[in-house]
Amino acid sequence: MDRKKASEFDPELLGLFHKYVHGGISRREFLDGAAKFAVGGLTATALWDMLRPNYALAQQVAKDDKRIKAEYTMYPSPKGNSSNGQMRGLLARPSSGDKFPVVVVIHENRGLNPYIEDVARPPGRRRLHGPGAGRALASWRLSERGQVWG
Amino acid sequence: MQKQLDDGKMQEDFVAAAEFLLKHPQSTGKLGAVGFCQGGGRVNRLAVRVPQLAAGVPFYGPAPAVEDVPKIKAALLLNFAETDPNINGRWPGYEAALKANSIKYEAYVYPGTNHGFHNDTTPRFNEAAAKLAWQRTIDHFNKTLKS
Repeated sequence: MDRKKASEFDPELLGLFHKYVHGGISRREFLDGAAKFAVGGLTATALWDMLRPNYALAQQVAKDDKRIKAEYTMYPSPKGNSSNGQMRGLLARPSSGDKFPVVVVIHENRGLNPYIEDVARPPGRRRLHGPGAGRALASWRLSERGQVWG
Repeated sequence: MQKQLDDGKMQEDFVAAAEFLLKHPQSTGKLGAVGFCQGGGRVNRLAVRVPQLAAGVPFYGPAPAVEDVPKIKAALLLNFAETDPNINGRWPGYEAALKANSIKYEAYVYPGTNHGFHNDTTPRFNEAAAKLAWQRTIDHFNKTLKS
């Protein structure tokens, strides 16, 4: 699957998209600003589609990998955002073993999405499956409830 | 995106996550945190707030309030993009406070990268930098969280 590189885009366009992602401007404003970069048959909407996340690219660790036990779980968070005091996270750990160190994985401003779920899936993203790596690395990951991109 | 959520309450959600994990029956009690972008900033703030945090790895995360830095107990590994003016502009002040308080940290800037370089679902993904930063992340957790 094709993933464009940042170097293929004008830095000003990347900056504009950064503003959009961080809530500084609306999608409409992004498209207006991107219009001048829409050349050679490209539309501003096509640029937006290229820059936004493509979650089909995210999965580096299979969801049904037998070395991993991963499930959504609720945990108490009485001072948090949820009206019922419960938050949802992805809890993942090696399928064998007793006790593990723990790591909280905190997502970007895009919520619990396929990218961050993949980061959380032990024994380790990026093929870091060295002997004992999964065990030594903390293997509980939690995140905030999913928010839909866009 | 999450503009509609209360920022302070969202931070509480991650403090609660840390407490949940610390108390979990399968936990050794050794706690780390890794986060990206806004979540990297939350790692910094978690380090300020949760003294049990032994290791923190913010990826291109906003610095915490400088006056809070003395509260940090965690050993930090900070990963920065080369082109990321909003985040990097606050690093010198943060670093000075880390040094002044003798807080253990390592910081790396990845040449040729933009904010978000670890996220493989957008064009800002930089595979070589993402791999190196993640290897350092794993090494840092292995070093600091092993029982």
